[in-house]
Amino acid sequence: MTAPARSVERGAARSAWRPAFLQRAPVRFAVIAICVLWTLPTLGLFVTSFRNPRDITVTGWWEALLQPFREGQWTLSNYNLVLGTEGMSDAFLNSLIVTIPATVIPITIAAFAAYAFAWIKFPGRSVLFALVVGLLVVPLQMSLIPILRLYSDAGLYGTFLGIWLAHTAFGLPLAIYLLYNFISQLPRDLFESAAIDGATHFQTFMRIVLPLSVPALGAFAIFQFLWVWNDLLVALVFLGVGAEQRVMPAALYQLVGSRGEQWHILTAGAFLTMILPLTVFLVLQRAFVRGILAGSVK
Amino acid sequence: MRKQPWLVSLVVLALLAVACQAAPVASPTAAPPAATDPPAAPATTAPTDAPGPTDEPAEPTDEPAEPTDPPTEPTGPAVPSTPSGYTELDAALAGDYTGTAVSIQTQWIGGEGANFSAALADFIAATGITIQVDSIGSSHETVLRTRIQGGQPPDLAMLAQPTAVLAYGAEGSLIDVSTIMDVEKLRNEHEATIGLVSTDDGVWGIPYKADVKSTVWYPIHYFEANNFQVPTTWDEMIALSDAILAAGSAPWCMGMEAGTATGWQFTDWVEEVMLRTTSPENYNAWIAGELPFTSPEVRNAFEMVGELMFTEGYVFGGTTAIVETPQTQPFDPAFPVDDNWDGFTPGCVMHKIPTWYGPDFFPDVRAGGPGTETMYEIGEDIGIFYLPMIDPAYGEPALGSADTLMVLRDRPEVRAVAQFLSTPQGIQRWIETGSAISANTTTPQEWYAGFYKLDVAAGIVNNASYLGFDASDLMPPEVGAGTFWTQGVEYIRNGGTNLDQVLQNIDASWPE
Amino acid sequence: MADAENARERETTFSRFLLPVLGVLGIVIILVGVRLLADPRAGQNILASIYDLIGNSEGAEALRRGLGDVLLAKIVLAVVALAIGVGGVWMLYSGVSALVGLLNPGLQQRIIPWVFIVPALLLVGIYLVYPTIATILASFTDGTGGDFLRHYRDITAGPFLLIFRNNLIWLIVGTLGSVGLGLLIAGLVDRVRREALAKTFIFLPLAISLVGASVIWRFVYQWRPEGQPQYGLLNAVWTAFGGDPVPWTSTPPGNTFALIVIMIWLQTGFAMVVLSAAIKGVSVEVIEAARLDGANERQTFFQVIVPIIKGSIITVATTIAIVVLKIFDIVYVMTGGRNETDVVANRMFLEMFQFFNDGRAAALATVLFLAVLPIMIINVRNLRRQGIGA
Repeated sequence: MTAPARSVERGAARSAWRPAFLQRAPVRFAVIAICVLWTLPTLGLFVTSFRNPRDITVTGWWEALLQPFREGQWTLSNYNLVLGTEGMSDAFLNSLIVTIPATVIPITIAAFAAYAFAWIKFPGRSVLFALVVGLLVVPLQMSLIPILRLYSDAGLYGTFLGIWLAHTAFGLPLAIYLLYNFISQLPRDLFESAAIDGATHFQTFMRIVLPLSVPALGAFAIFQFLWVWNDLLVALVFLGVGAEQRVMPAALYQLVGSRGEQWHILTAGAFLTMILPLTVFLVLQRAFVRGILAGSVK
Repeated sequence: MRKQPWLVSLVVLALLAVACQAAPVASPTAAPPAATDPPAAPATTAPTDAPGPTDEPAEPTDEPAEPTDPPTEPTGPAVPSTPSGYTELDAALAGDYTGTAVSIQTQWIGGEGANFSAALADFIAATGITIQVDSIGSSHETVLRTRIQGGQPPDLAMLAQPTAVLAYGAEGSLIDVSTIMDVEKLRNEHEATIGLVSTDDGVWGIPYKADVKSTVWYPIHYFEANNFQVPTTWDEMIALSDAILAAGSAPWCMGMEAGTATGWQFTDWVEEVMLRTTSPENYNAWIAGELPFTSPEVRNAFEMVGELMFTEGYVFGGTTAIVETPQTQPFDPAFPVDDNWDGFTPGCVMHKIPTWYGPDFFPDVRAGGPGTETMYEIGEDIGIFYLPMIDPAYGEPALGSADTLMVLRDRPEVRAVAQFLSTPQGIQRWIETGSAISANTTTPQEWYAGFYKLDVAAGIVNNASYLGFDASDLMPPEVGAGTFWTQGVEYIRNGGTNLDQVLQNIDASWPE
Repeated sequence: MADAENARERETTFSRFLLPVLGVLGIVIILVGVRLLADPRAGQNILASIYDLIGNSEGAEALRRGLGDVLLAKIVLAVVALAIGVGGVWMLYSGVSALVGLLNPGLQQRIIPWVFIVPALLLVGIYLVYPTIATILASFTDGTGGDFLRHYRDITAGPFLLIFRNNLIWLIVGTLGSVGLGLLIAGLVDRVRREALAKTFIFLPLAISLVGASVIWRFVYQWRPEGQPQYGLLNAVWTAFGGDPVPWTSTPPGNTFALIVIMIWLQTGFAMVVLSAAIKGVSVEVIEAARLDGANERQTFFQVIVPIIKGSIITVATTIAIVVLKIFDIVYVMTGGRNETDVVANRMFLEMFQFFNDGRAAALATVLFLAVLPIMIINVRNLRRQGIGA
């Protein structure tokens, strides 16, 4: 059961942690098994979304894979149904309108704050930082009603502005936490030499911190994007439920029916809502990995 | 670098998304003539309807039959004739509120949502009031509570639990209905139900849609083939159950999995037995918390329900199936897949479910999605009988529930809509689909005629020795939407062995 | 030479005079933008104004009446929003910094940090601190007055003990499971040929919405009566090996663990990515030294590598622990808290939205807050030990 020599060479450029036993087939098999195990549930969703609704609650989805050519078992009708529903394309657009600013705005605000917490001395710094990060623990449900009350006074209910601000604020603790982790680890020399050159904090931020933090910013961007895109509760509460502002998860929920267990709609809809985040994730994956890596190593 | 192909694909995806969006958009630019076509009532297509025309051009291809339309178009629009007896309603019908908008939040989505929209359509056309229906589905109560607490309530809202209506009334969130419309007229037309949402301080809602819960659905052809008779007493029903079991089927179809609301069907069963085994006074004392769950009366009801659920072979799939089967599915084994009933032995036979049940929930429609026509016909293939009496001393009571309309903001046009929904015409179009019963007792009986389900329901109500309202909907929510549900599930799951514990737990959860 | 001097000169002029102007402009833009956007029909209004500008008064009129091109209006809204949200915020920061730059250096040093953090503080103050304080106050307020601890007494009785026990199980099993598995997989995938691909598979669940995840797992745990075809994956496998179908999500105490598995499925990817990155950061020399000392692979991993990446492990563990303690969605969707699976956040939701017990919900929230606080303190300490910059 020894590993072929070839793969040893191939792996030579990898990290220092390179135990020989990992070369063995069982380990490789274990990794593959874990991957399969992890993907299996999602695969089930994917396969089911293309099955004839009649079959879904009669046989397991794997049966369809075992007999892939049985007539009439594959169909696009589930997707037709979801996509053809009135307002689904509107919902897609609404989701984009909600998600993009709600991802970009908190990054900006958090990056400035993280820099200040990490590299500028001022009284109360650690207390304030602990407070902001401590807010990670506040259960979201607690904020809904007080904030809605404020919104109703300020006339922000049902506006996109209202939901951008809400998502921004709810995302800030994590954003500051992640970006602080990253920015505080940047080499001290950089800042010292910048100070010697007479750069202001704003210039230091723009010229040094920002370019170096791109991976961390990307990492948070993915988190926030996924969270906002998939959010149902905040959107329902602050954006309201009218057809004009409905987002994708809300539209999907309405399709399912109050007393319905409509697997075919659910599976197709769930997969549709997944496509964009998955694409974003795959595209930004590298940045993401580097980002959280840099934020927490050491 | 190598990233570029990814970026390109992202851009392509985004473009595709925009393109998909753009296609139907091309038509609305051409569509405005259609929107401005009926100049008499321009407001009906105003703000909220704007997205409508966007999608219409794309629609006809995949849905030739419009399911929302009532099958028949009887005499004139479904609006009350003036004078209706309500000031604002008359003014609205005279066109005084054209261009105003009213919002209403409901839990009805899918087929029910379409039916409710149909019920409003004629009123919208006649008055020029835009009615925005926010149909929320399963998050309805949460969203409503948040909106009310946050000071952003809808103008009107529907709610199924009178106890919640009263709670909102008590905390001052509702408009007292008696201050905005002729309360005498309202009371007279909703005798049976208005009391449930009234307190000494006011009338907090308008009962809108009623449902009869004491209905058992069964496959007619199977009964005929086996010479089974519809039971008229509980004992006959037990005998029938045994006969069905002997004939090779499980007599009962039960499935209660309903997300957070799992267990409500169990509470219905207990309420049915309570009504049939004890006095209305005791029933009401039970609701008020004066007759504890540990009392012999309630205990007996739990045990009788348990007898049905726990007898070996009575329930398809056994006790686990009761709590695990999604509430839309338990009746499926009673239907032959191909509608061929000859020699068909159903997996299970009888299904107790309220009158809101119907073709929307039949297996073929569920599989086919919205717009699918069922191949099974109510009254031909699927019959309904009254869950029979137990003790002649308590006669043949019936269990019912009602959806209540709450008024949360006071504007003339809101009053008009509320008043409209209190009239029989406010639900006429829904009745005409054969699936709704008005809570208004002056509703012409002939509207129900010809619909098997509604006929049966009307028969049950007219014949009822006593009409009991859903007790769990009247108990404090900690119990009626809390422990009564959850402990009921525990009771079933444990096959009845934990009855004492369950009853004590429910009593313990009753708020002081 | 002269060019460079000129350039610097220009730059100073630029930053000295133009930036403050930009800053004022940024503030104005944000104020105007907020006013514009604070209208539910902002998109239509903006597009209508544009139409007016280019002389298309017909289009503008149609938009104001609620007709016309809603889609275009929305896109315009999104663009304007992005411009204001991103551009305006940047201008705000740069402008205010420049304004502060006009002050004397001592004052500058004192004011600048606040310029950077005040927007963030303001937002979290309104959206998180204020509701938290309101909730804590509400938890001590009794409707009838007088009895400050009533809600706390309520939540120490009966089912609540079970609820707290469940949260503890979640905390321990969920956190350890995710971090442990993540660490293990990180150690394993490091040497697999298609590492990135393997990681993507593990990471995939993070991208899935809750609705999606709950559908997915219903297909795993689905139960059908014995003799019926099992279309739930787990029961299909289970019955294929001769077992009776098991209702996984409604049989305590196993059902709580069945739900925790979903959490682990979701969170392991996060732990894995971070820890795998940390492992790669361990220097070659350290590991070679351990090898020379005769440590075998396992010893090297657990006695050398793990201690070195301890900081990362703590960060990951605390982040996941917080998510796990606040767990709501999975329980709410999968079981609704029935069959002894209830947890604090789910109960809080029920008390608030279903039972109309706001006080009790507030007390639960406060308890949850207090429970998570120590974890947060450990985390912040840990960060501080890593050395705060400057």
